Amino acid sequence: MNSSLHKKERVLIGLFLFIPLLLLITFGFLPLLEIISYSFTSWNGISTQKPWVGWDNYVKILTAPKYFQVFINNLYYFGSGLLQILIALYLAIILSFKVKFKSFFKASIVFPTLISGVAISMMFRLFYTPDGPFDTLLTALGLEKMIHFWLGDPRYVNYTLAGISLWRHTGLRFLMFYAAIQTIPKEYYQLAEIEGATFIQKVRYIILPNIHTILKINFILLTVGAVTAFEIPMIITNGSNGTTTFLLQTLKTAFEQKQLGLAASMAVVMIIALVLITSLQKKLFRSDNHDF
Amino acid sequence: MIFKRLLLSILKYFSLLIWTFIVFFPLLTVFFGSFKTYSEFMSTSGVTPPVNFFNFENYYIALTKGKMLTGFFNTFILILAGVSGSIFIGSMVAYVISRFNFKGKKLILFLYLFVSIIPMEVSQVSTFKIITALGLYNTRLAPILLYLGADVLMVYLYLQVLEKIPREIDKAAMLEGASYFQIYRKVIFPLLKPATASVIMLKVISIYNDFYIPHLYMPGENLNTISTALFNFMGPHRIEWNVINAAIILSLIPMLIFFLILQKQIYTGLTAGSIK
Repeated sequence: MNSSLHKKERVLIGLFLFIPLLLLITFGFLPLLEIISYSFTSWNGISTQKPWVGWDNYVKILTAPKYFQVFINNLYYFGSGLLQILIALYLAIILSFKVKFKSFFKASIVFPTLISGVAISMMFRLFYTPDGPFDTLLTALGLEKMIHFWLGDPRYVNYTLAGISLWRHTGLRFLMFYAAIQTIPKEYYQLAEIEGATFIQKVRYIILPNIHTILKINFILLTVGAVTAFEIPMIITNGSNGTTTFLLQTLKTAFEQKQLGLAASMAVVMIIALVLITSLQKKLFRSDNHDF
Repeated sequence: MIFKRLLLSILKYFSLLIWTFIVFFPLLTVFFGSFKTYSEFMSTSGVTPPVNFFNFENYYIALTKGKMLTGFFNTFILILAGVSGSIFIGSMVAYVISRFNFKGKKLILFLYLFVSIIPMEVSQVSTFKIITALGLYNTRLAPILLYLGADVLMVYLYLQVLEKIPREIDKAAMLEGASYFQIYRKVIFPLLKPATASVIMLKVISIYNDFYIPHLYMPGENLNTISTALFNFMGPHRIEWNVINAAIILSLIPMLIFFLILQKQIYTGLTAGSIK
């Protein structure tokens, strides 16, 4: 096939791809390959020797409850994601009808998406301190009895963190739903109006069927987000009080406990999970095309 | 009927106002706190406005002692290099892939897809070794190269737009004697503007807000970004929350301005980026 290409074409292809591919392979692909090879060693990350231990690391993380148990904490972020989808969808539907100050409301919903995880985490660390603004708010609402040690009590801290995740990520999901609703032809609504459809009927028969692809994408994104959650617990509690997530534990195992081999095998488990989730996504889209 | 309409309308605005309150209430307490003195901060509640709205001392401390000024500079460099690099790489790779047939094309696409599935943080366990081996640890180049090599969404954004540009345009230009490079530079690249806008929005937001990569690779003195400067406030010493509040507000201001000016483009960019 190459011989059929003109020399000029080949030069251009080579020129345009050389640097990008060099970067992709060095910083994107090679690290993933290396993780796999490290995962079969007990390397500490510093020593020149990387003792081969076979499947030991994998056996360890899959059998010792200590390592796999933290996945339960990821479930809080999954739950938060589900709630985000519900709230975002609700707000997107409301705002796709006639509303005053629409662009103000839209901007306020999206704004948290633009704030860094560090700023958000610091803000909420303060927000949830004992006698902090959140407790003041509860008192003002007459809900003093509900006041807890939000970031210290292991019974509540994961809910608090999942709530922060909700504050942070609802905006982006809202935007996806909102954009999808905007692509529905106006005639559909006009027709529904003539037929005397109620608000609920419009939502059920026009909006929901037309955005189910975006809904599916959101469920995939939610799963990926839940599997890879780490920034909020890292900055707010540094994983203490039972808030470690799987990725946070992986990073700590590598950089704090210097057990690079073990951490690599945890990363491989996560990569396998992500590849599975994504291939599921591809499958969902294929089944989508049959609908048309 | 009218009663029902009214009820729906009330419910509508009530929900919107509640969410707006949830979004702004924490931000407002931070805003208030940023103008308070330390003793004032410790003795008043978060919802009490500061005594003096013109007390900018916390801002001054955050900018100088807190190294936010250095942070703005470093973040600016990372954004400049990361964004322009992404535009070049994304448009060039997408142009070659969509316009030519050559051996290994499928493999290249697969590599890009594979790398884009895995969030950068997951592979840091081994990326760290590569960066150190190349002598890039504690340089601004480390995050920049990672933003270009490991965060490859831009290739997809450009490919999507390129597939919609008819090949006849290329052919017409070729008949007029344009070289491939001229076609890319003079014909295709200007037509890619919508994708370029999305790439700029997404990369500015993600690089500005990125914390873990600079935290891991640029811990050195005077190499802090906005995010890492903010993080470093939580030292082992007395945590001066009033100064931290000022730092949080400072970190928000550039994004707020960016958002107010380019709202529409940001909406489009974020939507394009979330649906690969």
